[in-house]
Amino acid sequence: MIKNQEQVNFFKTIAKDQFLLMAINEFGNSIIEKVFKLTDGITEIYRQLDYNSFEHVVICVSANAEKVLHTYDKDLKNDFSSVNIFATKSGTSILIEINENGSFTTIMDVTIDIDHIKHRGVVYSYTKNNDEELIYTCNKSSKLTPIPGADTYFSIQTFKSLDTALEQYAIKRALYSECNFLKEAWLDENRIFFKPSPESLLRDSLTDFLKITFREEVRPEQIVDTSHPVDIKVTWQMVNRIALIEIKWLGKSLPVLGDNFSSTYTDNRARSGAQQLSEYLEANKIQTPDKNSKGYLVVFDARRWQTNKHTNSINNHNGNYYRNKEIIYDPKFDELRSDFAKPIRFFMEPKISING
Amino acid sequence: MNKSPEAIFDILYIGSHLQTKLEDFNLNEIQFMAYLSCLISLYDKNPIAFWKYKFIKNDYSSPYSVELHSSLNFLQKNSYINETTENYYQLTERGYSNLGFYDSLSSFKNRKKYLQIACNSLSIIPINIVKEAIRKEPIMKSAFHNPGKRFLLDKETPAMIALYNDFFNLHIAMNDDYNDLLAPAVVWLQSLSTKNPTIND
Repeated sequence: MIKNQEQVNFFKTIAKDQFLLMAINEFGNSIIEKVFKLTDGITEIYRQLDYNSFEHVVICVSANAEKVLHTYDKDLKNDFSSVNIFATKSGTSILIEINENGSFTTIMDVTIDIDHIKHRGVVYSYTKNNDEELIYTCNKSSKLTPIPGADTYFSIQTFKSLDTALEQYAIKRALYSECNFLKEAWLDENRIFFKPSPESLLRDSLTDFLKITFREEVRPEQIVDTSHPVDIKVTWQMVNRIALIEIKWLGKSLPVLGDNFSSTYTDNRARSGAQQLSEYLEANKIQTPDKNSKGYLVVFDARRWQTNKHTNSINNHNGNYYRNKEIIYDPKFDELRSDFAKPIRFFMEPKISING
Repeated sequence: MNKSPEAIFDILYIGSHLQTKLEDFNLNEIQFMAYLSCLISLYDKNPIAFWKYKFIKNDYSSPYSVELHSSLNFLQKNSYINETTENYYQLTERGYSNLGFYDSLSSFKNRKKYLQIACNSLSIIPINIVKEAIRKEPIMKSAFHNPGKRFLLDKETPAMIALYNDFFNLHIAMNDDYNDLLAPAVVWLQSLSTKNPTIND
C-alpha cells in the first residue's frame, strides 16, 4: 500500500517538472502541437547552428496568434524561411522564434530577458557557461536532464556505423573525460592516475555512450563462455552480426597519492588484450557458429611520462607524451583475421599544469 | 509468412515517423516503438488481444514480433520500403500510398491513436532513451532475468500484474487532469529512465 502511494507520488513529482505537462497546464491541449514544433524545430536548428559558439541560445514558440517577439523593435528582427540560414550565424547570443508557418524570426546579440517573453509561449534556453538547458512556460521552468555524450538534449547524434560511434566516443568523451563514469575513474581532477580497478567505470562509460547514440543493440558484459567474458556486445538484429568489444586500459592506478601503484599497465597490456580477444573470438565461433562476429579491442590510454607515486601535477610534455604514440601490435591480428577490427586507442588527456 | 495487415500498417506508420526524424529506420526501432504503442493501448484499458499480434523477448532482451519481421520482409520484397544502407529502410512512394490507404480505413483508427502517441513521445524524449526506458518496464525487466524466448504480455503473470499496477498508480497520479494520452506516456517513460529513490525493487 505504502509502495503504491510512493509510486503515485513519484509519478506526480515527474509530472510536475515535465515541460510538456507544464505547457499543457498553462495553455491547455492546444499547446501540444506547438511544443512539438519547438522541440523538433530545435533539433533542426541545431543541425545547422554552431550553438556552442554562442553564450546564450533562446528558441521559442508562441502560445497564441500574437508573436512572442512582437514587442522587439522591428529593426532588430530578421525573418528567414529556410533553416539552413542558421549555418551562417555567429555571435554571442541568438533569439529565435519558430513561427506558425514554419519560418523563423531571429534577433542577434541582444541581452535576452527570458522574463520578458516567457508568458507568451514556450521558451527554450541554452546557456553555455553553465551548460544548462531550461524550458520555460509562463511561471514555471524545467531543467532538462543532461544526456551523457550529447552536447544538448536536442542534439543527440545517432550512428549506424560502430566505427563512427567509437571515433566520436574518443573525441566527445574519452579525450577530456567528459562523463561522470570517467570522472569517477580518476584518482583526482588532474587525471594523471586512475583509482584502482577502473575497468567497470570505463566499460559503463562506453556502454552508456553506445546505448544513447548507436542505433543497434548494445549490451554490457555478455558471457562468451565462463572463462572468456567480453566487456560489451553489440548485435545487428537483421543481419546475424555481432561485435564483441574488449576493453583494456594503460597507465597507472593507486588508492591515494604516495601509496604504491596497484597496477601499472604499459603497451604490453594492449598486446596481451589483442591475444585474449583473438581467443575470445575462437570461443565465440563454437558458441554461436551461426553469427558473423567481429572483435574490437579498445584501449583507454592514460599513460603519462616520468611519473612516480607522489606526482600530483604534470606538464604538457609529460602529460601528452603518449598522445600520438600508437601501439605496435605483434602479431597484427587485424591483418591476420578478418573477424578482428583494427584496435582503437582512446587517449585520455590529463589536466596540464604550467608548473607541473 | 506471418505477415499481418496490422503489422504492415504499424511498420509503415512508425517507419514514416522515424524517417522524418532519423532519415531511415531499422527493424529493432520498429519493434520497440510497436511494443510501446501496444503498452499504451493497455494503459488505455484495451485487452491484450486488441493488438492482434504478439511479442516475445528476443536473444538480446528486446521486444520482438515475428509478424513485424515477416511484414518488413514482405514490404521490402514488394517495394513498399527500400533498403538505404544495410539493415536500414525508407518508405517508397508506393509505401506512402499504401500507408494513406490503410490510414483511411476505420478499422485502423483506434490502433493509429496509440502508434501516434508512441511516435509523438519521440518529440519529447530522444529515441534511444525511450528504448532504454522500455527495457526497464516490469515485463521486459522480468523477461531479462528469464533465459530464452518467451511471450511477453501473457495474462496474469507476476510481471503483467506489476505492469497493470504501475498503470493503475499512473492513472491515480494523473488524476484525469490530462485528456491526451501523451501526458501519461511521457511521465511513465521518464519514470522508467529515472530511478525512484523511495522504491526498492
